[in-house]
Amino acid sequence: MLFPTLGFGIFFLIVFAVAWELRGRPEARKAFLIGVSYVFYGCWDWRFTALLATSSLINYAAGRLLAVTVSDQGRRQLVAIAIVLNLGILAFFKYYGFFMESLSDLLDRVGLARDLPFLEIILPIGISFFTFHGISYVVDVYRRKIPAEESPLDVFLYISFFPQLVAGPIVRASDFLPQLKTEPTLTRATLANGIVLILIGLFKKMVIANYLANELVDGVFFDPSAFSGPDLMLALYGYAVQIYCDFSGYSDIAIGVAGLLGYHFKANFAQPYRSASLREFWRRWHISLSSWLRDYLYKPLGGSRQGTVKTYRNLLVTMLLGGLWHGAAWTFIIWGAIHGTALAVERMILAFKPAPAPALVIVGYGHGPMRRVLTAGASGGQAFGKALAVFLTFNIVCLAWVFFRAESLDVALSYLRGLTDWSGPIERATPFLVALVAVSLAGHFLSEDLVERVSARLAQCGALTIGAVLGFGILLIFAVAPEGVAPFIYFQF
Amino acid sequence: MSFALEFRKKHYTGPAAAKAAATRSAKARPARRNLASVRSETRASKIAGLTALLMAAAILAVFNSDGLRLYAGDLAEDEVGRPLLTLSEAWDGAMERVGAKRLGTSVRGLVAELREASWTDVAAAFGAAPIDAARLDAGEGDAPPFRLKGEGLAAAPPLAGHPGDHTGAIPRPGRHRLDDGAESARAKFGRSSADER
Repeated sequence: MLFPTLGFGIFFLIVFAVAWELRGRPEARKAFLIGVSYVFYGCWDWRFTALLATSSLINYAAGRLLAVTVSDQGRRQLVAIAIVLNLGILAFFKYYGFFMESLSDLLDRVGLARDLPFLEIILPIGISFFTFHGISYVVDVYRRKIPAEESPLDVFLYISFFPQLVAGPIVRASDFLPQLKTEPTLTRATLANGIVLILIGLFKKMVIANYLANELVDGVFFDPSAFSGPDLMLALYGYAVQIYCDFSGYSDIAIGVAGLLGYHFKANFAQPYRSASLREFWRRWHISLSSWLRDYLYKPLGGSRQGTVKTYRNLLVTMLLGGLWHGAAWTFIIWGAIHGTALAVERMILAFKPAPAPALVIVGYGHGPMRRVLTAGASGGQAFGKALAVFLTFNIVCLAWVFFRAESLDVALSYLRGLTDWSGPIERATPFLVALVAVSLAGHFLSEDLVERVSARLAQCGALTIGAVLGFGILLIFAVAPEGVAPFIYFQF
Repeated sequence: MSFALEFRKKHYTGPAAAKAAATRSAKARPARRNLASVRSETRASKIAGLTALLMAAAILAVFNSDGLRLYAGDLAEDEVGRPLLTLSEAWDGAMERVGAKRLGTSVRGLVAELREASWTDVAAAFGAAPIDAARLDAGEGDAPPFRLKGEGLAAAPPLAGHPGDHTGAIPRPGRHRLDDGAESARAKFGRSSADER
């Protein structure tokens, strides 16, 4: 069941009405939400609901055992077993084929070729996300950030809650489980915010991401050797916009839907392409994954506390594993390696960079126009530096996207070669597509609290007006969008 | 009770306890009211939310009856869904007759125009003279540093097998177009992905 479909609309209408009807009976509400989450997940393949239930059961049992185990060593062993089980499920479904293929290639090269037990394994949708939810719960219980849940309903709902089940955001157990202990509330502001987020998410996905995928990115990445440098450049920037709109669109809808049901999810994206450094980029891009990797991988590895060399190593390992999390392919590993290396280099440069000179202090002019005139020279230089940093960061991110999007390493290398050849004609740069890419990128520089301000304005309206905004908004999006609904990119992860 | 204790209770502990109780209740009462108001706001917002969702559903049913018909078409694969298809087709026909579908059609038409706009159209919209292909070929005027599809290409020799590529017509969007573009570009470059590899 995809968010931008009529089927989901009907499903959500029923869920919204029943869930709020059950507000006074928390256990029944949780059971209902678990039930509908399994229906939502089962729409793709009923067989995998058993896998989801098994994963939830393992983590619930691990939590209970951690609660009754006193010794530190016993707790460590328990959490290690739980993590191995979680990662084992993920590894089997996601990495088994990749591992066997790589092993087979290796054996071929050293002359020890043999028949290996290859299996046709279907990748269960959203497995990476619910595995990380499970690990988050067990580790948070181990770290005593949250108590082990006595009721299995809470753990099952946390892992399977449908808005975040198949493509995140990766909600922390310590953020979500306490919300299940309190009575859910719905204010007019939450309602308006949810509806604004749903509309923005639909627009990003249905209009921007789908047009760019259909008319630009898919064709160019299918055979990059057939296009000239400018087309490849436009398609690369187009892909940067497409993946942002696709994934952040999904996150916006998920956060909006959860909000309408009375649960708060943190933002997953914050205008990432306005970042002036890679470190800032990772604070703005897929925030739930980057903070998960920071807290459950980078910091346990030692973070930046064990000297310079180990810091760079930890960065690289974290980003490599972050890349591998996205998929079992060398292209994802290279994507992670580019980010890890670039982060390490950026850190190195910043370490050697002299401390900035103290800011020019002009007293007596307050914050008025005179002060702006007097500081124009200094701020102009800073603005140019910032613009350059944003441009460089964006292009490094785009370079990494080539590997992320390409079907294989050969295609990625062919793409990079093509980027240097600007002799051919421009095929794809229609005004519509150029404007779509340019306006979407420019949108990153709008005020960061724009959504809040629009939501606050909508919250002052009556229910019928809010409904009209939602109805005509969806109508307009469906009329503008290309036909058909493409699945979200992050479903494959 | 001794006089001293009675005096103490009357003048010191009694008033102090009463004052403390009053403060407690003053603090507690707003909290109770707060919880009650949160509950009532949630109830009101639930009704507002449901009203908004139903309103949106009604708008979509009226102005996007096509979507309803397509969805019913998917459901019509089994016995139970077939009456729904008949019903949705009748509804769609009725909406067509009253003109409710015109809104979507006109928006789609506007978007199609935007998608099909060429750089010449953009230049014209900004008041610039359209690019004259003959002038460009004769070397007059400022030739653009690169050729854009559909711009100044009328005089270029057509490529065998791809007559449509140099007419300036923009292919229809969709997946078919991607193949057309790839083919034409491959012909112009004179290489293919297979050669590349």
